Amino acid sequence: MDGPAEIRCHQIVEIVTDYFEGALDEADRTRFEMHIVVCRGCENYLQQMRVAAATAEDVPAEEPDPQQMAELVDAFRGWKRRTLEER
Amino acid sequence: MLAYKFLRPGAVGPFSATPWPAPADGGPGAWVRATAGDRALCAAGVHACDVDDLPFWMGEELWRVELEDPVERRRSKLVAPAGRLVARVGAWDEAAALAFMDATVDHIRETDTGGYMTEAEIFCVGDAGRSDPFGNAALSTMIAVEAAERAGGLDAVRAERRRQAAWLAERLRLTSG
Amino acid sequence: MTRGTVVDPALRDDAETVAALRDGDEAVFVALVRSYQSLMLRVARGYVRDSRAAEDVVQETWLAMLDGIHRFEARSSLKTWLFRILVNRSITRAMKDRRQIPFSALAPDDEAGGPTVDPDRFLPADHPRFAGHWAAYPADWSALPHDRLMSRETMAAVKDAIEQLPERQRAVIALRDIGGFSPEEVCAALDLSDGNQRVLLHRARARVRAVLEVVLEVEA
Repeated sequence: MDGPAEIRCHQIVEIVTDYFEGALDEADRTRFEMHIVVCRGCENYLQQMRVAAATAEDVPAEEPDPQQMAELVDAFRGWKRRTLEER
Repeated sequence: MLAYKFLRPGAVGPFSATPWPAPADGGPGAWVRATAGDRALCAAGVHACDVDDLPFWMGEELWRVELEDPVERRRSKLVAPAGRLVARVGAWDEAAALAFMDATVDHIRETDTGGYMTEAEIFCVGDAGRSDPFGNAALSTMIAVEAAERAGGLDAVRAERRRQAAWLAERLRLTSG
Repeated sequence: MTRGTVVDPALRDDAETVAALRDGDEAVFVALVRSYQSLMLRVARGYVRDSRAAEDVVQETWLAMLDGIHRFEARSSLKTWLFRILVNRSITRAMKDRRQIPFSALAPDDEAGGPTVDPDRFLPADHPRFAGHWAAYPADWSALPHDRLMSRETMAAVKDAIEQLPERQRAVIALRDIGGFSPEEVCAALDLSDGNQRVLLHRARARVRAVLEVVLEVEA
């Protein structure tokens, strides 16, 4: 690539996820990366999107409600009985 | 094969945020490998530069890297299945980045026909330039290329990239291959 | 802090899990419930909105899974199949409760397109020099201390942001980023093309980012 990267910041922010997902072709990926190199704003935005994905990862799981769990175990035992009877 | 790579502070990959293991006990760092399923690290391989590619990828830290064969030559980058850090190029520091930026701005001043000095002055001169030495040095590479294209088309762009690479090679005492 | 979804190691192999369920292995069933219940509720609530209704849908889904387990062929993974049932049941229940078709749940395209970043943050198209560039750079979050990112306040804001999302964006980000599903698994579970999945993920993450920006950049 000899010419300057032509893609602008307002376009970069719309293809960040495509970039992360490996959905950009080689030419677009190179253009994207070259823009990031020269643009602190977009570099920071890329990092922010990465943080958003990583933070979602750490949203804590909730333990199953004991009442629901008990109902499910009951249902499972009932299902098991019926299934074994049929076989 | 030996090559170069720019990384973010702390030897972190500039796009994938992959941490590159530092050299230890006098030996190179551990291999960083691209794996097929890993979209964060380009599935095609780890990227690196030879001297001519450096101006496209300017960042905070410059490292000597060893690449595992087969190394593929692509436009503006080298691609390999794995790479490892060999040594930091300590000569690439803020002072060097600022010197690069000054030299590039001087060159723009001498050759600009399209008003690109205005941009150079906004971002790459004085306090503004110093506020982000590495970021603005990188930006100066692009302003210079745009100015070159306006002044002399693709030939001028190629010449400007060669000038940028030669400056780095000389200042940082880099060798090819 | 535990990750959003921790799947019991005993469930790593689908074939073994399915065989164990068919044999009536209660421990395996319980492990499965513990692994996915939270994620299932999160996804279901996106469609039905009401907590009670979501619980009902999730319970029904488990029962439907059991009823179908003998017919299950390993054409998809167990968890993909499980979530397909969940989403179908959620949509059905949402339709029943609202007595109207939620178009956003069925539309092949994403909800109203448009930029995910406020256009005012960029210089306008008629700017003489820097059209389309940032008017002011977004902040550098790599400088933030780790415990700021991991604080209760941050987590609550992110959780809340996800809960406010339209159902399919919510489902995609929950399955991808909380559940660790692969893109292919999400497409199979939600009946989406790769492109659709990506658009939904992008919009969802952009929303979470915007919320994080507000939380993280409040002056202490």
